[in-house]
Amino acid sequence: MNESDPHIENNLLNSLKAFLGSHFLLNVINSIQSDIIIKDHKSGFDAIQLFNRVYKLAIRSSNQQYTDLNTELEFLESYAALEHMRFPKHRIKIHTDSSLDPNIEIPSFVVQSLLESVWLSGLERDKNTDLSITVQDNKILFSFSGPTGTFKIHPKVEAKTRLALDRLAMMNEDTELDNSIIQGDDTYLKVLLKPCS
Amino acid sequence: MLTAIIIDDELKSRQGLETMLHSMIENVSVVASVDSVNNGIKAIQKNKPDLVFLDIEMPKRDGFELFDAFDVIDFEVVFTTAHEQYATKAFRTTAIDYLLKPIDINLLKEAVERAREKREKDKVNKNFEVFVSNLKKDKSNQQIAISSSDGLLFIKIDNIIYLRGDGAYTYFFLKSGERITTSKNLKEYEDLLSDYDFFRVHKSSLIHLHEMKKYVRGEGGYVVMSNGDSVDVSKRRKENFLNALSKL
Repeated sequence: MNESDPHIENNLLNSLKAFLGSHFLLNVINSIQSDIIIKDHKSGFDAIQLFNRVYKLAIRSSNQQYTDLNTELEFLESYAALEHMRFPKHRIKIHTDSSLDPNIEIPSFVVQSLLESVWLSGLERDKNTDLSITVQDNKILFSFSGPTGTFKIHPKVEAKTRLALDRLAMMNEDTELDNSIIQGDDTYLKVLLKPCS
Repeated sequence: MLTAIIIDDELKSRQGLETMLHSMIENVSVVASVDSVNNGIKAIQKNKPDLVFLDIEMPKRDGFELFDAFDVIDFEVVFTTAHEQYATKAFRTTAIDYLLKPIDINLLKEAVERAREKREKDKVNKNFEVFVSNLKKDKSNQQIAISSSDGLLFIKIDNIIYLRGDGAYTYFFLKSGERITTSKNLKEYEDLLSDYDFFRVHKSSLIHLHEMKKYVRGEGGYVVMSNGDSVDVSKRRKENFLNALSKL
């Protein structure tokens, strides 16, 4: 795969634009503004810290096709904490297999939009929703599944999720992986799971 | 004092807006602050506010669904959202303003002042229309005064075939073939024309019973008016409508 593929770079740039202009970030800024107005200094401080982390990691992610698992997890945990600040009754729990090498590289800027889709669907249903992400070492392989083996893209994040999935498809073009390809129609993605080794 | 209700699924967002209104804008009182469209409907029915700050994308029901619960939108609406793409739809309903989050205090002040001015102007216009209408109630040559952008327009009631409501607007369909638009909701004209054999056959339609050509039965059915237009009769109003016809 060509590391400086202009299509992939362009996709990453568009993904960054979509993230920085996302309703999520605008709502977070509104929430921080509210903390300042209602003089909840602790909450405002914590939110600024998280926002700063998410913002920097997003910029960094947009400059590279791959990111190490540790950095990605930091990005996701910070995103999850910000969502929790907005909706204190709900929480995203991220479980990571402790046997994973934290330095393993995975495609950057992909998981957050998937996680946001699941989060938004969970908020609407007011129920727990699962997203499992399998990462295998040394291969470009992601697989996603919901509780029933299908994953629905939430319409609010459809554009940026499509960007991420398009990029994954481009990155997978030259590989010989046989069951990591995401197939989809307009509303659903059917994901073929690859068993963890 | 302008009374206001805030509808937003995010607690922080409601708290922030309420504090801005309370501490940075004069003469606004937040009488309720709720987290969903359903609770918003109850709060509006109970408090009858002048102004509603309404978020759009909320879980379960979005902000636009609020309007389905009301025949008459007798309050001003300011949408507060992070989503730019709904602005056109918002202004087609009854929005007096559309504020993007994070909320700009200057735009918030302008929105409140616009709402205040509209409430006061509506009150004056309504009083004047009722006054003029009463003056002209000699039953021989009745007229109605309609607010237009540059003043008041007088129309003979006999010249009206039917009226159609669309959010904050009402369209008059006249025998002359003209269609006149006014920025008042249908309920106001329903009240004004109640003594002149007009009947609300549908949430969005008020017809002049003397201008009906035909009633076609159905679940609610529909009427054909003297100009050939068909107007649906809602199932809920059918029985009262048939009673009204029997009294003609």
